[in-house]
Amino acid sequence: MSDGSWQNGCDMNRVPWLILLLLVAVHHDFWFWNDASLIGGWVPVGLAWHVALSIVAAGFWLLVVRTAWPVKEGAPLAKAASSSPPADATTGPKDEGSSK
Amino acid sequence: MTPLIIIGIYLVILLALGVSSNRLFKGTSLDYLLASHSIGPFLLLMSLFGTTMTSFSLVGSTGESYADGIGVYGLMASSSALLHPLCFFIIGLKVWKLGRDHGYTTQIEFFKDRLESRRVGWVLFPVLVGIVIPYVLIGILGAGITINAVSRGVFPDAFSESSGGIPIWLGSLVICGVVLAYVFAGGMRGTAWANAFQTTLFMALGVITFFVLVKGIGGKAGFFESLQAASQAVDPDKLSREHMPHRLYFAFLLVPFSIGMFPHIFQHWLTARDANAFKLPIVVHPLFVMIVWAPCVLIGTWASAKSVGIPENLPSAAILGFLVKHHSGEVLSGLLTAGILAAIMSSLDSQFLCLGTMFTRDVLGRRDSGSSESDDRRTVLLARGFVVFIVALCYVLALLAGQAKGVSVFNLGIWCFSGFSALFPLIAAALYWRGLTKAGAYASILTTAVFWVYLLSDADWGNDQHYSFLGQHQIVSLVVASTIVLVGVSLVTRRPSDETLTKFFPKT
Repeated sequence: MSDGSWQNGCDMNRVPWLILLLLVAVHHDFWFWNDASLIGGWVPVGLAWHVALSIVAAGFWLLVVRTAWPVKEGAPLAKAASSSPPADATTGPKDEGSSK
Repeated sequence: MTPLIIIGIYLVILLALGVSSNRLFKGTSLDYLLASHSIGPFLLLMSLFGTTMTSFSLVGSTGESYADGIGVYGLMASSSALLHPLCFFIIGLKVWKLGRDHGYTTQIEFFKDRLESRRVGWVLFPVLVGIVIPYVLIGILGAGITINAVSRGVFPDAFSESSGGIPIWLGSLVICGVVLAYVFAGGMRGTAWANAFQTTLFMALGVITFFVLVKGIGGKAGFFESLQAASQAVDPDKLSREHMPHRLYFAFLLVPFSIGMFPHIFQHWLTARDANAFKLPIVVHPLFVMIVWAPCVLIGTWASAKSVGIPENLPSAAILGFLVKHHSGEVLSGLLTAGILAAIMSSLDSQFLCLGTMFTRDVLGRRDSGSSESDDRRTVLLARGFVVFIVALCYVLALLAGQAKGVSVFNLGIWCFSGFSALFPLIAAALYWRGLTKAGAYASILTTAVFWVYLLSDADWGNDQHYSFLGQHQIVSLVVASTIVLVGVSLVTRRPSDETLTKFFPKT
């Protein structure tokens, strides 16, 4: 289990966030705004741009979880501060729906 | 009749899933409401995606693309592909961590602790419920409309007033009944299992729908020729964003942030087995968004061509159902309708369970800690009772909302998203800004509530589809107002105690 402690913000380096800003900026594709041309005779170019952006987004988030994951592996859960302790914290929950 | 039989079989499978999941039920409230924090990456991905995608994504996107063309994809889908994972990453992951550490089940429990305010629920609860209800109604009405569209002409004598199809009230009633049954029996685990099944189904059938409708709409012998014919028959202004204001497009970037404050998404986050369970949803969500939205937007855009023959008075929500019925065989029509219903129901179940949870935990104040086994069983009983109450209430409200003319599924959804986006600064500040105060939070919530109701009434309760306030889309006005009030009031009022700040912002 990796339900560990949250790392400091400085561990999340700035590069992913700059890339995210860039992706958000190119989301507003004014250069294709009035372009009704069809790629391959059937895909509107404006739609093709945004479909490609969705695929790039998946790649970007893969990069983020690989390089800027903010939870330390293997660290124990923090001690419950409220009156309600996390159930199953001692025995560990059963795994369901794991893709691994 | 064949489509109805297929839909019936699909609903029976869902009921069987609910009953099956009940066999794993441990009898505790933690298990009923959060599946004992046992949901792994795959189920979390399917639950989050299935809950996010509703009739708004299938029926609404097709109808809106029919009216506005391909711009709808950039307006709603690619922005969500970028920003939903951001919310999972910066809000969901941290909420999960705090929920596990401190035993939270609902948003209000978290805010009570963070703001040192036992009464914050009195303000936040009605606001959350008030804004989420339109979203629930979209699903209930969408289900009824879809079943009506696919069954028109099957019962000419019995249901002559609804064009011989199953009336909307009856279709909605059946769907509510089935969702209620598996949520009642299986709780969060049943909901997660059903969501996985439904999400797989509606994605697979969505792709099949696309291939079938290409042939039907394009009308050529070959698939590629049909694709070209379908696109080339469309008015060029629907293939570009010529008529879409840049300002509107920019404003819609705020819509995906609404997911950060959806109470039912919050509850799903808390079900995660561990932090790593979030990785798969974060990475795969954008691809799933694309798989669902791109075909729907293309189909809706193609349907706008005069040659397709969409009746002029057909409601936008009925366009997908109409196309499916007219361009596919009976078996496929039934399967595709089941896919649409799957998308709708995979959101309704989480919303019903979440509202039931909020009534049980936040209104009645039921807690699992330190309670006896019999007391915990009573909590489960109460949660189930509230789920029944919520389903019945929402069904009645949906019937009343169905009387309203001219309100589109898409527009109603945007109003709901606008309200939740306006609450996003609250959750972001609660997690990342030590300076957030109780007074700042109260002021922001109240500003959102009052301003949202005012703007909605000013927009003729959603009927004015081109509404703006001071030249801005309502979502911009709401987010700006709630943020200014939150920051401004927090800066001049007393911060939470050091003990609370240390609890939520530990030095590591």
